[in-house]
Amino acid sequence: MMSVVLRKYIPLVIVGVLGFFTIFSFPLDIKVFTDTSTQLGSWVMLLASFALGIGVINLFIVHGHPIMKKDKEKWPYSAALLLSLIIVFLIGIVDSVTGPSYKFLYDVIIGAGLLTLTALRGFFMFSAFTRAYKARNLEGGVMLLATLFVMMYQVPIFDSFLPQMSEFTKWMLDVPFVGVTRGFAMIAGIAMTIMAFKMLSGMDKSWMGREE
Amino acid sequence: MSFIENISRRFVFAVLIVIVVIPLLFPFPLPVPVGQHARNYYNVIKSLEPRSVVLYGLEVSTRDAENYPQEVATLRQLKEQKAVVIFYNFFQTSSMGTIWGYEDAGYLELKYGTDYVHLGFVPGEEATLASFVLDMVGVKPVDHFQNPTTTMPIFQYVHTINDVDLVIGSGGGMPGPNSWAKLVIIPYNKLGLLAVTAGQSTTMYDYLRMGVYKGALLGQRGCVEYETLIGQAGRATQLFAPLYLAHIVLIGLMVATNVAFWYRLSKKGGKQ
Amino acid sequence: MFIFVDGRLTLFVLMACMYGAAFFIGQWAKRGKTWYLRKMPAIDALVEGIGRATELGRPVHFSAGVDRAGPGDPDRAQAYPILKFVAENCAQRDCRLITTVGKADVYAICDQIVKEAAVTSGNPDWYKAEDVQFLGEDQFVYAAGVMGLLPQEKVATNYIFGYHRGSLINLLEAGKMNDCFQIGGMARQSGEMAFLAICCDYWMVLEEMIAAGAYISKDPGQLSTVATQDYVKFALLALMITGALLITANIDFIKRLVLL
Repeated sequence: MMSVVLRKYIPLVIVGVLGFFTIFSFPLDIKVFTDTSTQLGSWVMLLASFALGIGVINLFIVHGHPIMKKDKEKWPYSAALLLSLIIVFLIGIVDSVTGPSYKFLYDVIIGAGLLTLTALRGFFMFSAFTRAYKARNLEGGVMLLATLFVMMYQVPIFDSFLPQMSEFTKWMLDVPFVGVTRGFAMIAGIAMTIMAFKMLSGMDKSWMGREE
Repeated sequence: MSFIENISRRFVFAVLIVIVVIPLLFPFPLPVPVGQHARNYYNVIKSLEPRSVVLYGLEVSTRDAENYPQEVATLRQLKEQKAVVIFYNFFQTSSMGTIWGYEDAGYLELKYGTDYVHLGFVPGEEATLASFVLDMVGVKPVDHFQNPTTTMPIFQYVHTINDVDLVIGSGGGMPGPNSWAKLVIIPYNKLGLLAVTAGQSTTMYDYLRMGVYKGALLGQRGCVEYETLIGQAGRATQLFAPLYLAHIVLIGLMVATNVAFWYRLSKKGGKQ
Repeated sequence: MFIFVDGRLTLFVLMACMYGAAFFIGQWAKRGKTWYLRKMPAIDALVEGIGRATELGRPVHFSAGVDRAGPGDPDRAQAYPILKFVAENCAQRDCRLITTVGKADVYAICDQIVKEAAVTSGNPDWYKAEDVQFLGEDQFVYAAGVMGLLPQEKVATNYIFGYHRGSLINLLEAGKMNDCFQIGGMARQSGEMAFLAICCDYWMVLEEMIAAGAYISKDPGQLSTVATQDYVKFALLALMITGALLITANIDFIKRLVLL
């Protein structure tokens, strides 16, 4: 009985009370709501930081296995990953995250790596748009035309021999497109509001896991 | 025609490499007409009084992608206007990107803590942002360099969002400019500017139309227009020629593959 | 105005009405009311993809997104029931499922879902801790991890749900290069949505993602959530049309009401 109360009802009460405090702090000008909501924002920071620790533990579990089992295909990559993690961690501890070694590491290795992946994105987009973007039906054709118009709008040379295209594209982005994005935003907003209410009030307990 | 329709991925990548490398080796100027959104962006910053407080939500993790030149150009104009800048990041990787940006914009000549402060990565994304704007020092008691914010000159007169004159939402996704609009600009009726990647600009048109964001840099082209206005050709202008050519070639390839596709269908009687 | 912040009274009333509607329609569902959901080919194809992977003897990959956990997050809220469904089906067929997450706090939730799916489908030994992987906090670090994982593990079926930022095209093209059967979904409007249409065999966005959990489980509570959303949308649509017509006739009653 006590374990059911602990596992089921106490988390519901905590999440519900704190969740509704945060939600109602927005339209209501009541000091206790606003102060609680501000304080909770700091707690979220703490939780997010602890969650990072869980992620690191998972990395060691997932990549420790191939190393311990001496999996010929995987262990070098897993070892490289864990070694990099340990080196960056030690540099951060010894030199601090604002020190010159960490900055060098970031500029030369991490930043360059992220830039490489961003550049790869360009290649993939080029490949996807060229090979896979075919107008197989009416909707696909409309989507393709809209894409071509927007791409031509980004390139100033098309303005000079097709000024009507750029006017039409501006209208398309300002009028029907904005209408559609507002509709999307409304749909997502309504869904989030109702789902949040159901979870916070306990009507939907799927986030708590299996019923026993 | 089947060669065009089933164009090899390797061929596409080779074409892209050539059209990007040639303008880098042989740069050529490209006139870009200035659009209304970039002009509004420039005018809003131009209208700032000296010592106006700017809260800059910045997500830059790589140099040379769209947000980085936007950051450098914006900071150059903010420095001319003698604005006070507070940097805020949703992601860890953005903290370093912020530092690259303000170093390249010449902020190291200014006084840290008085003219600008780098709060760095603030965990918790939107939940923390909503609290931060009500109590900045309480939510972020130390900055990115672990200096206490309570004793900084900026935070002797900037405590909440009411003390901020301009909010700049920069980034490419969620959380990002969307979060700044929903949680800061709309509820507290603040002046807002937008600097966003081209891919995410489509999601922000609604805010521009509503007037939530008074001006915007939309992708690299927006940044090129802005660099023209501030009279300082930066990385966006230098790298615009490859983007320009890539767009033209991609449009050509898309049209060609679709023409080949429909030619094949017409020969087969419309069957795919 | 009293205890309300200026300009937010109508917002409070709208929120209260939505909550009331959610409560009463939820009670209506408990008394036996059901609602019809139209066919969603993308959800129906989830099993097809798992079947393909089982026949080929290769694993299924499920991406839960690069966004934080949050109770009102539609991407996250619907990626979890889809993950549960996929995990149960994989466990029943003894097909390996590799789940990757891009945020550390989501890892714990996904791990729990996969573990429970193994138990409920009667195959508790199917679950392996190393098959639920946290790849990295940054979107491109996560993408690099998935791009490496797909050829390394010879993944046959690639499911991409939840919110991905700029890295979505990287994941989808990597899947295409590895000849994966791909299904993707996103519940938020994003510039990346077009890539789902181009690169996935089946895809779903917004409404379909939001209704995915209800479609899979046919649970009356979840169906009532979808129904509540639809009724609220109709009501707001009626309000918008009425307001637009009145404003056109120079009557700003609804506008003043909304701005209270």
